[in-house]
Amino acid sequence: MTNFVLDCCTLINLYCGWGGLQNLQQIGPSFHLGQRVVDEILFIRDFDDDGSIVNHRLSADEVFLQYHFSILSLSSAGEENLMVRLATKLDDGEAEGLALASCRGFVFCSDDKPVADAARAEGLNTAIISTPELLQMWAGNNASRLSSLPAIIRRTSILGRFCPHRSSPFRTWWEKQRER
Amino acid sequence: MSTLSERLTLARKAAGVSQDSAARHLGISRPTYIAIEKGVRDAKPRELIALASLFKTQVNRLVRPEAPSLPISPHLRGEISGSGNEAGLSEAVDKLVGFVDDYQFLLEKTNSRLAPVIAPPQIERSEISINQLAARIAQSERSKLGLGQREPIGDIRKTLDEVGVHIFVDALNSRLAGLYAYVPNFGYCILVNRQHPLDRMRWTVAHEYGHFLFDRNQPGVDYLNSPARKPYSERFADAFAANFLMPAEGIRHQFEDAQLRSGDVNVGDVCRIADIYGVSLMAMTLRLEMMRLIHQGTWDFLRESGVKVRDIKLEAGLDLNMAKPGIETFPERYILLAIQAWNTEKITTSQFARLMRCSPIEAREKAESKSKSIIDADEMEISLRLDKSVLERGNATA
Repeated sequence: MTNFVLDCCTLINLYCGWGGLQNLQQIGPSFHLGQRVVDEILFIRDFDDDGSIVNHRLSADEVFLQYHFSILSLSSAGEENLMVRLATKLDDGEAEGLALASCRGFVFCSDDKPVADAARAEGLNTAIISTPELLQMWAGNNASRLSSLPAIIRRTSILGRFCPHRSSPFRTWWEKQRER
Repeated sequence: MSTLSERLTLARKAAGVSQDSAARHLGISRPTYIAIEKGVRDAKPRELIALASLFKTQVNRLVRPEAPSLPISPHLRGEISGSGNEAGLSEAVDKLVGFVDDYQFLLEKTNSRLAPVIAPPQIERSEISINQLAARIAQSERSKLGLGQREPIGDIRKTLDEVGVHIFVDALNSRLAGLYAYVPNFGYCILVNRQHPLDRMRWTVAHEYGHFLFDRNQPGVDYLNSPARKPYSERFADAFAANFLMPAEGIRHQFEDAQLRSGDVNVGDVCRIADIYGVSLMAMTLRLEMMRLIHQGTWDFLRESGVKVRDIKLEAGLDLNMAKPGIETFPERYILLAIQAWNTEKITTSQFARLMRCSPIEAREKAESKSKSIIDADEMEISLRLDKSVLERGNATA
């Protein structure tokens, strides 16, 4: 079973796209969060009943009601050392998540190239996957999920203001899905 | 002292934590902790993580390779001595230190530099009165900045940013109007209280700019309603602000214009002139008194009459419902640097959001709105890459 550690922005993207995080259960009970991501109060957006966009503060309790993440804390000197080294290049939440994923053989979920650059600079072989890849993984070959992807991507774009960077190999795929 | 130990010391002081408490938090002796702050003993990663948590900061900030901004320690002026802590002075200074630190981080990330500031020559205290001196300096500054001799100043923040004065806006204790400081290796900074009305914020900026001109290397703070007589530099800054924001020629023109229209100048007219120049009714009334266009004591009379300024403004037909515009915390240049760093993938989205002091969604939204430009004539939307050089030959046809 593959284990995944989500960074804060990927969590926001998925929440905005799906309107919640329950769909993670369809991928598997293998998603984790670093303590620092949990400590950050997440600010997200959603559509109101009348279709207008509303701001919403997402509490940790609400997140856990939707998906039972396991919370990971740095627990060895190796993880702590790596986290501090990565923090010279990344935000604390990302540095912690990448250190945890790297030391435990998990996959780290992030859309930011500096994360991959930092991993490379540290000589880490950690697999890093992005929001588009997570959505593709979730959809798989399921016809119903595949047909819902354009709407999910539009929601992520509108509510989360997310679009893969120009340098992302998924940029074109994302834009095509959004236009469908 | 290493960069890390300097940053640790700064962060501890900003958090108001004693060396003894920090040592106890780490389970080490005080001398050992002091050795860390002196750079004699390296902090272990576990200790750094624990200290970041104790100091309520980011490990990322502690381990930045750039040397921190030197502490800005405003010298309390006589009349406010002892009231600094309760008025949130240290929090305000910490905020400014953090803003400057982030600004320098962005400059480093984007390989940018701030244009060197050519400080205006020091003003000599002359034999003429403070008001005359301030009027002369204000007139000269307006001319230098291309503001003319009578026009209201539109965006005072952008205007001063052009001459290298960095203006930050954030919520401060309501007793604190603003803070001015010179930060070595960075420049001149003004922090303005966001909680105050817009006209007061403009006044604060102009007042602090007066300090930049008069005593720029003497950091100071300005409190409201300070009971004691203000020192010379404060009186100069006030007089400068009045002349800078309300140039005599323009005010006289507006006043005479109003008089010509109805044969009289009433409170409503003063309100409208104040609105044109973006100052409060009190500031404009006092300015008219000083210019001897109205009787001395008019403001006292108005204040004692018990009429609310809001009611007067309503009667004068001024739009009170006009919302205070969303004022950015950071100068425009800072925001563009942050967007550039993010767009060119030098920083992550979380870092970008933290630098902008907002959520990742809001940060992305800001970047999107700044990076797009719509050319009205053709209804054509173009996306600008902020890091795109306009000097390189390949980027444009000859």
